[in-house]
Amino acid sequence: MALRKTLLPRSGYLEGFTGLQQQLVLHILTHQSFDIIDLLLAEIEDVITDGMGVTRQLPYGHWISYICSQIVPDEGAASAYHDDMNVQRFPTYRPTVPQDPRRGHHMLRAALERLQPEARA
Amino acid sequence: MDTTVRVAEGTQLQDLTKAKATKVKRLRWAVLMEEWQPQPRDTTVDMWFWTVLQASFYESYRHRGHMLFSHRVLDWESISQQAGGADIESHFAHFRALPGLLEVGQNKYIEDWVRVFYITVWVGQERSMIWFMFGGQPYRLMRAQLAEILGVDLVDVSLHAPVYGDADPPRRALVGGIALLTRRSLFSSINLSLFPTSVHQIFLQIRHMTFTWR
Repeated sequence: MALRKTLLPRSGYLEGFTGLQQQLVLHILTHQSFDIIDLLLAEIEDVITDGMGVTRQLPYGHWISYICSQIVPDEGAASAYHDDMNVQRFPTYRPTVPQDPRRGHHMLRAALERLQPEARA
Repeated sequence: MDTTVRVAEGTQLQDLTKAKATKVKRLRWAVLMEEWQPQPRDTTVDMWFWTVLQASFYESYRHRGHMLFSHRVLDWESISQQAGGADIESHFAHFRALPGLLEVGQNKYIEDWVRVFYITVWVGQERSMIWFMFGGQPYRLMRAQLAEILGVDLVDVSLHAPVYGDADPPRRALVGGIALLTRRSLFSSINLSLFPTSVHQIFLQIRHMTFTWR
């Protein structure tokens, strides 16, 4: 889930584990190098070539902003990046622990709540 | 910048709000950089864009309500806690600068910059470079420059290549074992199973596929 919110942004289709996600997890867990820039650019390509009816969200806002801030001098257009009044911030990912009763789909949670405490355990 | 694009009198923006992927690709992907950034610059549109077409894309995106992806940044301690105390950060630490990119310190963004970037960006062949507008100026950055700014290593290993091969964007999610996704890897799997060249290779293949399908 952490990767779906960071390096390989995905919202929806939570039950799936796509080929690309498998590649990413495999490379990270086995410490095999891969091209992060290629990954970002490929994802950007997918966004900009999709039809207007497809609601693709625009990923990597923080890294794109950082790149922009680095290509011009501080006193130029990038100065806004260093002013807290102008920037927005992405929140921190706070994962729930596996036993957290709020975890999972609401249908599953509702079903669990109907079980006796012993059965739930 | 203002949320509405300013254009000179008599300049008409195209309505692209109903454009399908085929049209979008024809307009901004299947074109040369010289077509995406023709000389001279069109001065009848806002300075943030190079052409009327780019300004039209901006307005159409705005009209369709395309949002920024709501990223999260990582707090390694809480991730580790969720994983039962496992040291997750150490896996990411094998990739130069990656942990830093994912951490809380790297969470600032300016929405207008990101929107203008997505509207104006042109990606070079084999993702070798990008061209985009920022602050009213055009910029061209090679992969090496992007890697240097983000502090990551350039490696000749693409994650997309084994999954999608030479497929054109936009690429859709593919579900399945990674060893069997592309024709090439499927072929090599069959090749290894039916025409084994060495026992060691078969062992590696089985181990790889077991890991994949688990």
